[in-house]
Amino acid sequence: MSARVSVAVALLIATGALAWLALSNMGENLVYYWTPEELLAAGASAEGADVRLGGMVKKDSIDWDKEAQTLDFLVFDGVAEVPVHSTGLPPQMFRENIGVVIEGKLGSNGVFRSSRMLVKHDNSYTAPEGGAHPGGKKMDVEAMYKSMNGS
Amino acid sequence: MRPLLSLLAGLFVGAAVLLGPGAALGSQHLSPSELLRDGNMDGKPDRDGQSAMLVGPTMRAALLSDLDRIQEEVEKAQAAGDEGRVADLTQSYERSQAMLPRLINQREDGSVCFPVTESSSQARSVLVCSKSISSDAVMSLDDGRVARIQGVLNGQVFTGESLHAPVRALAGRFLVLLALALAAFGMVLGFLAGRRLDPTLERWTRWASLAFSWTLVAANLLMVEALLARDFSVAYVDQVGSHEVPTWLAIVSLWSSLEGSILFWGLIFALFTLVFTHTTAKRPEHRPFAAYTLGATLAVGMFFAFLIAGPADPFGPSAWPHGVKALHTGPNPLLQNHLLMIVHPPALYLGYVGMVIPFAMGIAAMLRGQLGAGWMRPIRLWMLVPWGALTVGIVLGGWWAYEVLGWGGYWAWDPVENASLLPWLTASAFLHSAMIMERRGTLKTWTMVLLLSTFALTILGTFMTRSGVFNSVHAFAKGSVGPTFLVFLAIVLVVSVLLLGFRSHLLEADGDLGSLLSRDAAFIGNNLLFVAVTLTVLIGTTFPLIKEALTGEQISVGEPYFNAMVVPMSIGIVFLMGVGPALPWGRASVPEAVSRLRGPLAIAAGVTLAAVLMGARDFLPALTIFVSAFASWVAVRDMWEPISAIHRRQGGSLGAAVARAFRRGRRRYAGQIVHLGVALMAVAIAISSVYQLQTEAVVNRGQTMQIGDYELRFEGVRHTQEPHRQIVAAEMSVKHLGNPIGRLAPAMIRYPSQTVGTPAVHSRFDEDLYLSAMQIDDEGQFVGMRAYVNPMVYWVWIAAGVMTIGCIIALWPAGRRRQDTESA
Repeated sequence: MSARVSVAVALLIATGALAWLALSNMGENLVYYWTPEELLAAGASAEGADVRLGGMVKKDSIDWDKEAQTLDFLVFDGVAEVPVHSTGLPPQMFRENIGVVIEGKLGSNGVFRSSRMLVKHDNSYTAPEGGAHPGGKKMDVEAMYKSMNGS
Repeated sequence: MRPLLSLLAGLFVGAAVLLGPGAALGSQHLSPSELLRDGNMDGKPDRDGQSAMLVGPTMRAALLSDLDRIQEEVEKAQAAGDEGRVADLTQSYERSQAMLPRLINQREDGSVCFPVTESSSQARSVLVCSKSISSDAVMSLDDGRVARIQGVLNGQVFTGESLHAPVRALAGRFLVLLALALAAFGMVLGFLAGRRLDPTLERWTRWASLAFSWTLVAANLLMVEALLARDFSVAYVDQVGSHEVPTWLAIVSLWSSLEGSILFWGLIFALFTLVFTHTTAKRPEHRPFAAYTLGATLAVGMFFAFLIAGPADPFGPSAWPHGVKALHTGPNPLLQNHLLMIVHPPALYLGYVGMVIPFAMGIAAMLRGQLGAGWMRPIRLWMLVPWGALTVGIVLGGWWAYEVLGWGGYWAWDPVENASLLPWLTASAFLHSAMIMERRGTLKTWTMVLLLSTFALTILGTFMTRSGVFNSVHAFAKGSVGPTFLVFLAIVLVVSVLLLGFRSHLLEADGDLGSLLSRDAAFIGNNLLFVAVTLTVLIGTTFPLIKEALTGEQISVGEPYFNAMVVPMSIGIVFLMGVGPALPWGRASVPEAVSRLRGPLAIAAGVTLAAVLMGARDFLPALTIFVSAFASWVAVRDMWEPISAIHRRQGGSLGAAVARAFRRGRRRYAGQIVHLGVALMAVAIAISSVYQLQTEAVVNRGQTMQIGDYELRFEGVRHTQEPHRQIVAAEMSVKHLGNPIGRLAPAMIRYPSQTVGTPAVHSRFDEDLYLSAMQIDDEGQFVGMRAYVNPMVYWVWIAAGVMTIGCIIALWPAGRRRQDTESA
């Protein structure tokens, strides 16, 4: 085998190894986006999986215990809502009717335990009207996720 | 020369003709004196003798909604019977209300009046009254003129303006279309001239290139002028302009949003083209390639001029003042927060845009059919300029993220960050592989592929950040900016591949590579690692896009992927950075290699042991310190050896030996200085990432929290009102090891459109104290504070400075004419 061919083969093997490493590493680190509606629809199979849950903080649902540093609230997408529990300080700008993305796991008690929370900074977001009825507006959570990617 | 001058003269006369009447018809600024002349007189001072402070309508709306919110809270507290809270809230209400200026009084005849103050030096106050004032503050004066009131601040000059005739918009579009025409003209000329080597054609190509550049410069100056004049009849000014922002921010808004940033891209492009055109004119040895290079450059220029003229047109007419719902709040508040906004985008653009010149030179060489060493050197030099600028730009971006975004770090593997890193990686690989090409006559195809890829990645990067594709894969296709970029990228790739194929005979090796134990092998290893890092970052960045385009599923690739892949490979690169200069070119025997390597390895082991004893006990930081110490020692030794050899041989002072060695081997010294910077940066990144301390707490007023050697006490809240924003800062007094070192005030800054948090950073050489306020109680009773101690962050910036110095040394013109007798 000439030198050129062996170099080419070596490069090919190296590239293959790199690609396999990259894709397997990536597979472990992929994070999927869900809305509350989708999360509830997935039922028990969603429990324990690392997901990003996105929606709006529901009005009058915030319960922040300053001393214990725990935060409980409902995340809402206009159709369904999921209770969220997080420890530590709420992120900057956290308040009612703000878009929020929560990374964490759904517990077996139905409460989503947050490990990381991101808040959408803009005020231009309108709150979804409530209820799973035809008049209620479903929040465009996908658009919110993507618009937060840059922040 | 004369035709060029007459062309320029014609341009400027034309611009003057277009703009002159515009200046006359355009902005009419009504000062209070003029208003007085109009008869709207009521010179009574403000009721309580205070000077009236007029805020912009948008700021006012924000303050009013604040009052509403407090009102709601009061009602809740009253219902709950919480007297203490009611009292606190009432106090807060009154304080906010005092900040709200008495804006509008209504008179009996139905007209509304508001006080206006001229610049504080004149201290003149008038009351402006009018019968009609609409919700977006366009008012009709009594004499029938329509004026737009944008408010004033703290005694600064009030500006009311009549509608601008859309002269600037027309002039701008004319200039851009002219640039497009000149680029097309010059491109054709360039390719013809390159083929025929006709001096007349070459001359005309240069003139077309200069004219194109000056036209784009003029377009940019016009836009800056429009931003300063707040001419909202120009679409881009309508988008990002504002009366309320300071002057420096008005200028910087040029690159704050899509259309303006592409126009600014055009400015940098024009500047590079200007410099290149002038320098090649003076170099007869470049003659065979110069015309083709200009042709290729102008082809790219045509693409950008087309973008500015069409899909991303900043000069379009705006609908102002009708149909504009949002008021003029200026650029995105995240971009208003920090002075780094002034330097980071220009530096990044100098890096990005500059890649077009070496790319065009490579295309020219292939078209011409000659790829001699004589042309490779200028290509390398012209690649060094954008490489250096890109280094600065990327690091400034990290610094900006660190100082502004408040999450405590400087790099998040964000798609936009990755887009700027990719061309840097391939450019670094190119700079090394080009050296092999020069010295050994091999790896020509590889080098050329790197060169072309660097530019392709630049276009890809611009596409990724400017087309909105990361907001939504499907939305990007709705605008026309994204598809235009993709088409151009496709053209670039196709042309590159075709040229590489047709000219493959040019790229055949006429030398061969050394053995595994040689500098050549180290360079090749370095190149492979650089490309591997590029591919992994590219895959990680584009995979979500591809997945969403194909399956509609939305995913993101987490940071751990990037860190797990890139960190080991980067450590490998740093290690090879040490091996390369230590080994000779060609072939080294095993004993030779051992003797060259063992010294640095031993020293590195010693340094690492010391570091471990001092506390760096984790594997990756210790390994990073090892390879960095190794590479640094090799660099220092490599710089020292020529000096000592000259000193020994020729005697004289050490200083003279240093000067001589430096002059003879400038490229080597520059390169080793850059390597020292890289080694330093590797260590700084490792330490600052792994040994970061983080804590958060809710601190009541007068109480303290601890982190590391620091004690932080919450003193209270400070409210500051500025023209375009309101600042709520949490004052923390800081003690280090018991000694007071002053105050830090992380804040929340309230802009009309949104609120942003601003961290407070106290930088020292050994570590940074970084505070981010998560929750600030308006009444100042408590603050939710997140604190970080980031060790060695300052060294990241210093290391970038070292790399830049090395780059500048390599480019410094003095003595470049002399042939380097040694090469790195």
